[in-house]
Amino acid sequence: MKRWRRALLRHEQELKHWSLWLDLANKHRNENYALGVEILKCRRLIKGYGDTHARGQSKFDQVLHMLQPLEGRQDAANWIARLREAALKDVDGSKLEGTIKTIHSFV
Amino acid sequence: MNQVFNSSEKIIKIAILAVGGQGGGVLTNWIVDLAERNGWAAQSTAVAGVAQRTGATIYYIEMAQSSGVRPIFALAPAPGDVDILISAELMEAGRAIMRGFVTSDRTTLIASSHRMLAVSEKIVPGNGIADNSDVLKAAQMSASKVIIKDLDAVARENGSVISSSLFGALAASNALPFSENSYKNTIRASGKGIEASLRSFTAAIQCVEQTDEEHPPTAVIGSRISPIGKTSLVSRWNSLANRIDKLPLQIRDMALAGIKKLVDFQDLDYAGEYLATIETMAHSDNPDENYEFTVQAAKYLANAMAYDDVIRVADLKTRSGRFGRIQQEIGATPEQLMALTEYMHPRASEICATLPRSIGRWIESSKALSSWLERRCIKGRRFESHRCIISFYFTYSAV
Repeated sequence: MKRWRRALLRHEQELKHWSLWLDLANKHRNENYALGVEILKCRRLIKGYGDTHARGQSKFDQVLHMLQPLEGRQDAANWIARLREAALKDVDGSKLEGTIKTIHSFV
Repeated sequence: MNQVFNSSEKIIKIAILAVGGQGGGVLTNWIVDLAERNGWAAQSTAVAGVAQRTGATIYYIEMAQSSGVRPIFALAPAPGDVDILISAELMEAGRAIMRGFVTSDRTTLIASSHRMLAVSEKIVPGNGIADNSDVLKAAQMSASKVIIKDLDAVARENGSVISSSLFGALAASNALPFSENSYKNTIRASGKGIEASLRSFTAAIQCVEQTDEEHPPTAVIGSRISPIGKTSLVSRWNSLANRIDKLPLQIRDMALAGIKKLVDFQDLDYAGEYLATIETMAHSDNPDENYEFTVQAAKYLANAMAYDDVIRVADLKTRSGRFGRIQQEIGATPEQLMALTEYMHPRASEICATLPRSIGRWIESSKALSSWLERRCIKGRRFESHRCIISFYFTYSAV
């Protein structure tokens, strides 16, 4: 099946996902180099298959969703890094939620 | 009664910490045999510990020069009262230090620097591996003499188990007043895998005496490989590798690791597309930033492109190396039959994802069809991929 892989639905989904992610990182790199790098690193949240993959993807989305409120801030890269570390560390999602709340409290 | 054995200084106390399968018991027997061979009295005990993993065991040996009266030995080590501490794993050594078994006035610490990850390190979603440097620092501070080498690698290179290389390191430490020859005689008398054990024993002595620097970790990533196979494929691989050599230096290692991964995952074309993306990115990247952006992209794009789908999982499960590894892990001989059950629990979305785009999308958009599929999937399936040709084919055909 390897030879048909690129015609399968999954491949299309993955291709779309990483293209959007690279475009997003590229776009931010032009204004804020460090932020672009941090966006790339967020890909680390996604791994495995099945439930693990779905969980990782949801954390990835939650972290990158915060780009909008952080837009234009000098410390945006720092915050994205913190969000990612929080998402990596906690199993139940409470640390990530806490960091998101902190950001919302000042923007 | 005037022959009282009272000089506690003459008792040598050795504690060995080992995890199951590391041959802690064998090592203990060897040390006891070594002592008795030299006319000493010795006693050993084993306390099965419940560590954070499947059970680290503490073996404890006391030995003393025989003076005609049988000395009374203790059953378990006491903090601050251990002469030689042997640990078959690095964090185990750290644990021993925390428990006070290693003291700077007398303890010789012999440990293997390799790691066996604890469950608590594995369950962290990111990188949960504890920092080795803390243990190394603590070891230098708390022991009177420290020997830390990758003794597991030494043993494996010589086709043996870590017990033999630990035994070699013990000989090299000169912490026991016995000759190298009597160590070797002990191994010879044990009667099992003698040649490999002796090789590993000697290599460990050399490793300890050679230099004080660590066994450098062999760099797998970034080393150029010379693939063998069809000439047309090899020349295409070489042209990819040459393109990497034209990239800025900082990016090369990561990009090479990337194409290796993607050729393994799919094929040369796929790796070529990846490389083209990296090349474009490197072109517009900022050299003053050390190409950090492209380096990170090279790393994570390769991971993203080598996503774990059903095909990849099936591929990994049917590689011949896997069967060999499992066979070795459970210690099966070639003539023994091995049964292997695969636990699979695909989600409905994964089944759809393995279908051609249009069919997959059609099922996902139909509520009735997708909920039927979800119900079928919820139970999970078991396959016996070891010998039954149908189930092997089922897994294999997914590759």
